[in-house]
Amino acid sequence: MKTTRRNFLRGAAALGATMAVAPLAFADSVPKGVPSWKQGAPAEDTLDTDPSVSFVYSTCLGCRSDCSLRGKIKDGVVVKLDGNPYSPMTADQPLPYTTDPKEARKYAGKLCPRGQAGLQILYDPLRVQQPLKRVGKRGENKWQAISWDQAYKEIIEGGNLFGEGNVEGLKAVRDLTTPINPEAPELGPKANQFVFLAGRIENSRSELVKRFVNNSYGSINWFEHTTVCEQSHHIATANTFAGKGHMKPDFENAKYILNFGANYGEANFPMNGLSRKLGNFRVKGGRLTTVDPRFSVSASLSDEWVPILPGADAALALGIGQWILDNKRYDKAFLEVPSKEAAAKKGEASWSDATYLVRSDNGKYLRGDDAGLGGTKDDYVVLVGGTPTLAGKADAADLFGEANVNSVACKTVLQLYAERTKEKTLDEYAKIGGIPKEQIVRVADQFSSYGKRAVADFYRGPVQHTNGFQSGRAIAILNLLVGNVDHVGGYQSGGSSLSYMGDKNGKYQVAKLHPGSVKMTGIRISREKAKYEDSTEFKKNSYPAKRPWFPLTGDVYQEVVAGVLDGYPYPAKILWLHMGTPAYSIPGVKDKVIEGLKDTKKVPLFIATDIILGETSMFADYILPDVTYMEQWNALGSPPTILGLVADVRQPMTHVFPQAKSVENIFIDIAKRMGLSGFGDAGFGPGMPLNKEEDWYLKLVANYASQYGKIPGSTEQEQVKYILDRGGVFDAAGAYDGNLMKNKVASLCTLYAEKVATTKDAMTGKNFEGIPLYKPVVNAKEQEIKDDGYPFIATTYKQSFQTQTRTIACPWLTEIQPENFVEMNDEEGAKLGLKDGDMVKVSGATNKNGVIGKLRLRPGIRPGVVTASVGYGHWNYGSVDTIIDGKTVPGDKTRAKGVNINPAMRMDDSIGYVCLEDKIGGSCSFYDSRVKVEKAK
Amino acid sequence: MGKRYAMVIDLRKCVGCHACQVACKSENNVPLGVNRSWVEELETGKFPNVSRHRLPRLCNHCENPSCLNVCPVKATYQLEDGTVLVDYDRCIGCKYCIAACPYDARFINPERNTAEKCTYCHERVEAGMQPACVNTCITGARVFGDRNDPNSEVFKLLATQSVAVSKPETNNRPQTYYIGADEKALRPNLLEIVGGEK
Amino acid sequence: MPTVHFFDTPHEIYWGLLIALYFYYTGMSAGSFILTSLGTVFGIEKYKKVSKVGVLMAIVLLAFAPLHLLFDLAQPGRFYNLFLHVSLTSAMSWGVYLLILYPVDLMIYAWYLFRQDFVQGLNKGGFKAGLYSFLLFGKKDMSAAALANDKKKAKLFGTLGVPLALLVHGYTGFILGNVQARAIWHTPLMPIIFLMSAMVSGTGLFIIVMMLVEKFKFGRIGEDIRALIADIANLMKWFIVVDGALMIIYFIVLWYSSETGYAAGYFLLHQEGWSFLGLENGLGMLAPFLILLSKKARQSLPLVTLASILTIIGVLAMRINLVIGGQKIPLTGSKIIEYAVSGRDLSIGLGIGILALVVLTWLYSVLPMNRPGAQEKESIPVSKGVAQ
Repeated sequence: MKTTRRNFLRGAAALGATMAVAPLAFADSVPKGVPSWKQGAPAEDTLDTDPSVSFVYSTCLGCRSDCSLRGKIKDGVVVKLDGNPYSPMTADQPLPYTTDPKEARKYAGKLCPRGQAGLQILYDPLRVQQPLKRVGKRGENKWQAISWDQAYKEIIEGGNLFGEGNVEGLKAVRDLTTPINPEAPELGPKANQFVFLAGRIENSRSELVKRFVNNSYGSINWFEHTTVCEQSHHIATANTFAGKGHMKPDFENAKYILNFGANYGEANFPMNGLSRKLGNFRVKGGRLTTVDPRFSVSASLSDEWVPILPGADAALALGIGQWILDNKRYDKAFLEVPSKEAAAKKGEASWSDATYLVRSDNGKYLRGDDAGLGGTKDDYVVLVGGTPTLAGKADAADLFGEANVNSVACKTVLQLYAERTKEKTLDEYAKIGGIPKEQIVRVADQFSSYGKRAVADFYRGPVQHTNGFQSGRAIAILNLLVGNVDHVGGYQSGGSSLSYMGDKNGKYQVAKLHPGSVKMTGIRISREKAKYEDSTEFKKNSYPAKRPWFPLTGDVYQEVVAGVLDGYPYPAKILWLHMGTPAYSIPGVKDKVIEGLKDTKKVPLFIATDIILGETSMFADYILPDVTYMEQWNALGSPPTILGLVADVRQPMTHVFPQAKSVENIFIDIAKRMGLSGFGDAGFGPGMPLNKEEDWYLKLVANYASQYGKIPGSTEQEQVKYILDRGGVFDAAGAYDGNLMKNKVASLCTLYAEKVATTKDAMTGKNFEGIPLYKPVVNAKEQEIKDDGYPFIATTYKQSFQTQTRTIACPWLTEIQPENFVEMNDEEGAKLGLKDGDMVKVSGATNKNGVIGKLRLRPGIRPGVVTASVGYGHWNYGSVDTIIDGKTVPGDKTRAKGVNINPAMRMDDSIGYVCLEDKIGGSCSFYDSRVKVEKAK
Repeated sequence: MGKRYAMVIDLRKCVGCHACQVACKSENNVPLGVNRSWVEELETGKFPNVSRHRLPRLCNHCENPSCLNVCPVKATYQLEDGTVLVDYDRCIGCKYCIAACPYDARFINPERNTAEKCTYCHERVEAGMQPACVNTCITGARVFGDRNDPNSEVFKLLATQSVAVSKPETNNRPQTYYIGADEKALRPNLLEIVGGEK
Repeated sequence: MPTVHFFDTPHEIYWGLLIALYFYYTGMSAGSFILTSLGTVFGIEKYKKVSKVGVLMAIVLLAFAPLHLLFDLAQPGRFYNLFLHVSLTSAMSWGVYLLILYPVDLMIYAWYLFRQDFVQGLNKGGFKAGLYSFLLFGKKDMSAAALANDKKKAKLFGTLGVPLALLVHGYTGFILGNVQARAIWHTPLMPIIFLMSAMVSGTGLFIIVMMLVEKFKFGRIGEDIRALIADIANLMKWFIVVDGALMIIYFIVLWYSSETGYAAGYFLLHQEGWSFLGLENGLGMLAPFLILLSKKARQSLPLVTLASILTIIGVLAMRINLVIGGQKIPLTGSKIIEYAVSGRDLSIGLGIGILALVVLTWLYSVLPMNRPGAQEKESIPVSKGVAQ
């Protein structure tokens, strides 16, 4: 039977016009000898077992999950992407790690639609194929193609680059001695005016770039994007589970999962493995309750849907806590244990602070040395039968109680928590949540009916709020109430990985191999990981600060941008944006960000590394063509849903555009040209060059081998090859340890966040709360946001076949659903006289122009809420015509379809330049904005 | 009994991610705009009592396929294992099979200009692998195998679970079995579609 | 219960205008042939006047009908596979040989009808004489025996032609009727409905063609023909009655059949209402029926012409409603499948129509259309015929 020859992916064919024009525009960079899909692509009957195809094992980045990937290559063309059959990320029963790769051809792991469509990102003809320098004003989308040599020279040396006056280059800004502001020397040297901001930057890539920015160039301002994602989840989790930022249910053995706003089956990562585990969980009879204002995929697979109002998760969690306490359904045996030793006697690995006394005067735990009990500052104090006792000396202590110790009024943590849960009645909690009281009771009853095999999980939904950290904590604490930490079927910290940086016992302790490393100093432009009280500004002005400070979190993406645009606490000179699109992703400030980035006074030099002209990178002065994830290296671990050992490798499958360069190689080149430390012929030390990315990554892979210790091969080279041939090191075995997980938190887990309670809000001078609470939506100045006249709360979510960006370039995905919708409850829409398919305007108090999208009415949206999935509504990403060297590259209009609802969300106009935000966890508020919806004219 | 391939789709596990749909496109180089396999999904109810139902569709490789009967040139044929295939060299593109298939499973491949549909990834199956959609199904909802082999997963599921097929009233005897399928998803509500029911 | 469908996987309508036209052409071929065979085959004398006009029309319509099919094939170059591989389970395959036998039979039949006139026309000289001479294949015998043989053979092949005509159109009814997936098609009445509507439209077209032939061949429409037209119009009335009755039966059973059948009926009454009720059955059936009820109207050439045109339009609408409408109701998914005729199909349809008209006109002008009661005097220039 004859079959057609495989053609260039249909997507590219659909872009026939651009295909024809794009290479002309890049006339001097037409790929020579680089196979594209059109040439020599195989037929559909080229099987995985066909010896003419080869495989490259790598790691996906179709979304954030980092699933293990395998590329099938025929005649130099990547023709298909599958999951890696060796990896527990992509297979329930992975192949034994020792399986010969030849044998592994017969098997493939599982991969979601985003992952498989990666081919269309790789071979996207609209990718940036050569360094581009703007012609005309920022954002006009007119460019000239320049050589790498010219790009490097201009970026480093600066000069009158655009005929708009002198621009300082990397060299001029790198001043490690002169303070930015002599009156506020704590801000650090001028070198800090170079700001590197990444959207997504993967592990091990981030270390290399940090090496450049922090330790070679000497700027403290290296950031990634986490607060626009789910940072408050991590911070809340870490403040509950002894620094572990990410926990997940043990899906294999849990019996009941209470899911607060995590999009299982759609986005919550690893979407692929998590969906699989969810399916097994359900078929085995596990009960699932999902708390979400949208009838999500997770909700649809649940036994019960709790359609809560956005932002009310803390109310629900505290209500559940109240019911559990009132009905004594908590795990007394777990909670009353005050120390590791006592816990061990009860078969527990972790223990809690439920019994610890907290001082009412300063919010600290009462310590052994201030209780007069002969203890030290490291000892906690508990009550045993009402008598203060050192925690280490008790096997069990009083859960509730208060005492005056050394004339300091103290209460136990559980007492404080109980009082907090009782500040409102269940009826009040139900009213806040917009759900029946009976439902709170039912959920609390169920949650506390499965012993340690019930888990309260959460992700982005409850935490991307102004009260996100506290909501996250309120949920996390539920797990402590049922004592499921570290238990089989409980809340657990996941599998293990190997340290690619070799920090502990790796062959190459890469971070240390940096002769001449510079020590970065100063205050980050986002004011994170620093206390306002230590600043000169505080000494001058006291409270409030001009903008919030974030002593308890990091990577406060939106405040990096706001800091740059507001020139606070100091102006920036060079902004380097890598694989990020703040204008698209930060709620409420699209126009502000674009306006600011266009201003050459606020951002004198703006460089972007991107694979395409993105929504924000299009405003840069220079766009340097990065490679896609299928053309780059990385060394990565796995998220906690996946048990066992996963140490993934990402390695190039091909290199489609010869002039594209990985960001690693770009920084290596720049460092060498600038003569910075840690790069070049002796980058790691004498005889250890760092001249290309492989010099970095092969060391990282060698670290896997040296730490795992079971890789066959007598030389490092052989071992590295063994690992690369399998895409990493995987060992699914040994996830459990009796009734406990093999990997444990095995630490003090805290209902009380002492560090938080003892930290002040720079905007008010008041301490944050150590026990979670429900709070209405507030701005940075703690003023409640009411926005009367805007009856809906706008939310977003992610579907299984799109991610924020990238995937819009995949016709396989856009044809599943060419555009997204403004989704609204059907009955409510009918009341407003709106019809399914109407074009509607969604606008808010700070964006009266709003955004326009197509309405979808459905019963599965909570009344009072509108939502739109992310990934649509692009204003660039190849969707508009681009002029390069005077020639027009036509855009692909299909990429502009649908609506991005973020810009309609609320800006925090009390401080400007940012959305509403969580001052503890740092998260952007995605689910608090009030909007109105009306028929578009 | 001889080998008889069938597919069981366990909708208790399906998350409606469309991985199968894209895998099929990628594996079989299916052009844009046409699909050998796709996923339908509907939401029904009245807030807060709501449900969502998914239905991955593909050729049912029927025991008595309409498409095979109507083909005037016998380009559509059936293997002993039940797989229904199209001889792309013989097909004249009259589209009768497309009109006759009760499941919309067929289309004209605009590149090849012949009728086309799911082949159960016949070449892969012959080589001992799974169809691409089954292989990639991230939750393992799609199960493929020999309906007559008591050791096969398909047999076990058919033996132990309540299954449904799409349009059993046709004489096609379709071989895609769904566990947990919703009636509304299995069969379009035609009266509503034609405007006879609001 | 409110139900929202999240993804619309596109499905198209693959059988479009060209297939409807194919059915339409074969139908009119069969209809006009059966009507005009009444004289030769059934010995109804007055119909012998129109046998020739009818058979040429039937041949040309049938010759052009499969072109639609050919152009509709995704692989037209492979049409010969239809002859190489016979499939007894496929109604389409049944038609393959009918589509050859029927026109061949018609041509033989026509030859016997025309032979005598060919011989007589030999003396005209010029192109026509050459053509006639060629078409005679040397059989110039004008003996009484030979002429009697002509009649006998004409009757034989004409008689053969009747069942072939019934089959050649009836099979198209099976093409749709055998498709159980689509309620609009899946009825045992389908072949008969196709035949009866073919009789209606074949008659309608024939009346118009005959009038044109008479007018241009003989300069006027004689009384005998006027009487015949009134007669045929009366027949057409009865064809409409039967066709209409079948449609009513079809529709009633559809309405009370399965959910899909009822939905299909609802669809025909509502979404397709203007086309199904208005065009197909109102304008195309009821209106001509009402016109033809009156004997006076049947004797009025303009009114009969009007009625004929209406039936032609009505049956075209019926073919389109059935073929395309039958596919608009989705088998999966949640939406009516919209059909928009492609420019290509429309041009092909028009092109074939014009070509058929040209060929038919040319045939009428070059062939001797002598009939009982009228002899050709001189030929009408071809160009004039075309211009009409």
